Amino acid sequence: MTRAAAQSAPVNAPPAGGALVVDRISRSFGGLTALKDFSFEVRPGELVGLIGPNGAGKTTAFNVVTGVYAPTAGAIHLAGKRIDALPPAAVCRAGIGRTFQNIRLFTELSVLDNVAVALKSPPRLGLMRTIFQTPGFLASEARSRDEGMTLLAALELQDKADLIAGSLPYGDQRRLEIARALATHPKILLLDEPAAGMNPQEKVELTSLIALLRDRFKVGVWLIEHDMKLVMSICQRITVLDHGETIAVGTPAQIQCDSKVIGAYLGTQ
Amino acid sequence: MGARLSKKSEISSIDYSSPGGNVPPPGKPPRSWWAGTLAGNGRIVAVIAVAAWLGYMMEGPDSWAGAQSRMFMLMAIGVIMAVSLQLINGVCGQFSLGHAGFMAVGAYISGYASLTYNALDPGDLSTRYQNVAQVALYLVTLALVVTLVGAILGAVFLAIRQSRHLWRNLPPILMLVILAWFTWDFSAAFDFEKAPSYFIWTNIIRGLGTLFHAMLDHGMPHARAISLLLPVVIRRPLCFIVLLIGGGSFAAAAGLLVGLPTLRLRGDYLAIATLGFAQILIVIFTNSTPLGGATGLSVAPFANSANPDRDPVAHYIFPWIMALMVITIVAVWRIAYSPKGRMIRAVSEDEVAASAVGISTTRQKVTAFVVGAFFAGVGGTLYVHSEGYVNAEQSFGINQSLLYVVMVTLGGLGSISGAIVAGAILTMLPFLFRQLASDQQIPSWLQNVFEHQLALFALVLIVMMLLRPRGLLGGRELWWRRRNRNLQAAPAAGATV
Amino acid sequence: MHLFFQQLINGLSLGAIYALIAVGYTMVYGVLRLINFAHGDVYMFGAMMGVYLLAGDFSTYGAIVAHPLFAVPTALLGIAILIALSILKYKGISSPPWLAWIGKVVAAVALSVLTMEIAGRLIHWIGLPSWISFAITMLAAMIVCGALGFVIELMAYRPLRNRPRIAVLITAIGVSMFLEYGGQAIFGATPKTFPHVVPIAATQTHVAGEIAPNFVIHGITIGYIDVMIIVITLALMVVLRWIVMGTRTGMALRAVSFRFDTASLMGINIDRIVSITFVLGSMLAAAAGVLIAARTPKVDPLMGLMPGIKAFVAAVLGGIGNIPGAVAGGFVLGLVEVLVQAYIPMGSQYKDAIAFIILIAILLVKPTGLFGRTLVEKV
Repeated sequence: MTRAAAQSAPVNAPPAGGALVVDRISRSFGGLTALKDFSFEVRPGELVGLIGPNGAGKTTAFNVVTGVYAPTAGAIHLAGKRIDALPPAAVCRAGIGRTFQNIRLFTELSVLDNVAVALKSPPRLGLMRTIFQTPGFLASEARSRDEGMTLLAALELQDKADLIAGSLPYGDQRRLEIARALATHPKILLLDEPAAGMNPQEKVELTSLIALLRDRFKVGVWLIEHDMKLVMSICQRITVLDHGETIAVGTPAQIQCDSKVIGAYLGTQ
Repeated sequence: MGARLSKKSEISSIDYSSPGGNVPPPGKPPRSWWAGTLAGNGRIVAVIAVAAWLGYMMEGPDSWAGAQSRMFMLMAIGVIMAVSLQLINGVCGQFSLGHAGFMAVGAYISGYASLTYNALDPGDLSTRYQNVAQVALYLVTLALVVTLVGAILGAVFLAIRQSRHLWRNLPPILMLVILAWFTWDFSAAFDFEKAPSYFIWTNIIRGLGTLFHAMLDHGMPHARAISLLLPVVIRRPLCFIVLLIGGGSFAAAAGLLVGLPTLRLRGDYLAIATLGFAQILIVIFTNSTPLGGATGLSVAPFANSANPDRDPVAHYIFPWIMALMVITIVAVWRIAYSPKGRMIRAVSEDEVAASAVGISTTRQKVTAFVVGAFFAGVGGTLYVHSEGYVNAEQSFGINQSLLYVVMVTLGGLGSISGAIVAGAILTMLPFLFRQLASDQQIPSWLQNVFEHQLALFALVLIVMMLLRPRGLLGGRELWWRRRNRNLQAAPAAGATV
Repeated sequence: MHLFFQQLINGLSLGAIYALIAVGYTMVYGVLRLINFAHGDVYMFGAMMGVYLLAGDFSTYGAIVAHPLFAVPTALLGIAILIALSILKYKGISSPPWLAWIGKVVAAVALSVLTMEIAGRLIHWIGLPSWISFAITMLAAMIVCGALGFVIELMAYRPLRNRPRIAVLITAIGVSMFLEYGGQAIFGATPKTFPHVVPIAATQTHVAGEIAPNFVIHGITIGYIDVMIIVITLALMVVLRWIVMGTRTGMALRAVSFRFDTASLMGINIDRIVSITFVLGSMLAAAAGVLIAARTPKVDPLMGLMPGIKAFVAAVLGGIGNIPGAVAGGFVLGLVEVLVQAYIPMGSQYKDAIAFIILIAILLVKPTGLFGRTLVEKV
């Protein structure tokens, strides 16, 4: 698939259950078009990538999908439900979890609380129940603590559950953000440069971890990444953005020899 | 706003078991929810009882607190105000400068109710605070009318907000049009005894007024009969509980009214908007004739004894104040250090991240605001019924609102125990200075200095802020307990991926 | 229609006062992101200084400032320290910070005292025409309040520069209370009367009982003082505009208010700019204080509270941090307040609520004020 295919990419495949279908969305800021006619599809269990040079509109794509910005045109569906008019919290509840490029943890909450706060629909949260601390409230709190610990264990953070999130080392903060996103029980997980700032060793570990998480939690993972090796090694499909436009869609092998992509990254003669 | 001091790497997760922990022992079969709740809160009930008993001992000229009992009462009310504001300013990070306004709502609503309806026989002093049902009827009727007004205003506001889908600039225009319409409607309708039907707003207001009076007029005799049916012993406490809940609820409603539209503002804009709302409330109270106007509202101080004339100073409200202080602290503490509080803290730290994990930021902020306002209203109710007199401008003016913010900040943003300490100290300081000014032991020039207590107070404030910019306790609490025992039980089995 | 034009003039003159105070708020907010609650009290201080100068009433504690036994030594000490500091600087010796700090404070006090002495002598010994005395009074009050603003910033706000904003805000509240109640201690709590120097508006009778002369144009009576307020305000705004837009200092000021951290990297002396901001703002507030004192000839230590907060509302109205916005906001607020009082039944009772109703209405539809920039948070 090359450019011609990219224009009509998602229409070909029948949307599987729980798939995120982004249909020709655009977003402009004032006169600047940050994203133009962007189409994409992620199915649960898939691991797909979004790459492009700096300022290509990758993070904007994520922000539009998660409801931070409204798209100026186009539609986004998740499992057949339209989600592009929803506020970010509702998008998340619909089943999209995300991490941020510049880590945005709740730095003064503990590691465990960072995950627990994100748990989907914490049950029995009524004010009266909170004030009177009914047994049901306490039990549900114990449950969410257990679930939080399970998630932390999945990301190898269980020993640090009691620390203040802001005091964690960088790599741990990245993983904690993933744990927090997973706590919302997403169908699709959006990772914005999860390996940024990590050393090669950590990157290798993270790569295998992401693949494992996808299988264990049955989520579709969509990631933005600068590290080509990482992207090429784990992604099934890759979309390349440049100046807001989709310049290529395909398997890693196809992308590697696409002349437009090479041009965008290295400049054309 | 300000980042809070965090004791890196040491502070454990939030401790749900303090104060008055209620963690069920593992392995026991679950009881019914009410039995469990009651058993779990036994300690709290005991603490409330002790506090009330302390209050009882401290009231009146012959008690050990003696002449200082008024100071202690105001200190306790100050603590209630500071703790409730801590939930808004510290935990939720929304900078509210209008807390005294909510206090005023509670004070005036409950004060007016008890001024007008609390006696079974207005001529007989000993029947004061016995007419439970009339007070309740008044409050419920008022609540109904307020709900109707709120519904109308809310519908208008929502309609205006929705109109932005038609055209981006439509909401401001509609806002101006409606504002002008309001103004014209009210000013022009003044010329009519009965406004013609096209004065829609005036007619709505008058209609609501008629409804209100009709309900009261028809209901009051029945209400009095119901009051007479109640056993004498529970009449007074019940009456005061109704007043407290009423005052708190109206303040909470005011909090909702203020919070819903303004909480999307950020930082300083929110601060000035809340200050503005409080100021509007003050002006309304100052100009409202039934509420005493500029002279203020005088209420018979709450008397819990059957014979208030026996001892004119001791009216036994202090047990109530102490008990409610404990209740406020426990409630705010439990909210602040619960899953709810965790969400509120998350919102205060990073709204974008909070909404990205599915937390509705507006909802959390409004919750904090409403709960804080509720307890402020309770504080106002206690204030008016212990002082017996309030004046909107003096009791609840800007300086009072600022004072509560000062308490919260000086105690340390986010620290409830800090708010307790600062609330008590800052209420006490002027009394202390005043006492020193009349103390014969100290030289006269020093007495002269202490005469200007408020200037001195300000100086103390500046110096404290220069020395401890993050408040007395920073973001910490006085009593943290490490919560490791719960973590030991964490699932090790789930650790394998 | 006559009533309307009369109210228009009243509204403009009230608006001018708000504008003068609001500019100080907005400038300080621009550079420090601080709501300087003490600003309204600086305005009160200006009015007080005006009363002391013109009335020559030195019977209260306030007299101590102008008493030669206090004034001359302070002034001499201040000058000595200034000379010593400049010699040290000239010789390239860096003086210890605490010495420089004390030197600045003493110098500021000395400057105020000297100004009061000289202005007082000029007014009361020479016997100048009343309008010249008024001009001298205003200038002196502006200098004294400039020094006051300088000292406030130096003593209360600068030590907290890198602390949480909330701490500075609380300090500002403390400073405000200190000025108010300290003012009560020094000036006395009872209102003072501003001397009858400038004719006041037609509708008001001076305490002495005489009716002031006014312009009468087409049946509209316009008080001299209203015209004076508007003209002086506009003149001061022109000067301010020149300072902010036309000088290097102004450029630095704009840079600092645009981005604090970057400005310091560009070699701008932040401390100096912040000081200048406070001095400028306080001077404008002092001018407003003297003018309002001449119009409603009552001055008391708590007079700054309400106008201060309303001026802040005006600043928010215009988009806080934006100087032309603050001026516009001030005029809008003054006009609306006066017109509502005149035309809406019971409007005068709800006078103090109007400012806040406007504020909330504006914030609800345009949260950044009339001329404010929308800040988009980068995600």
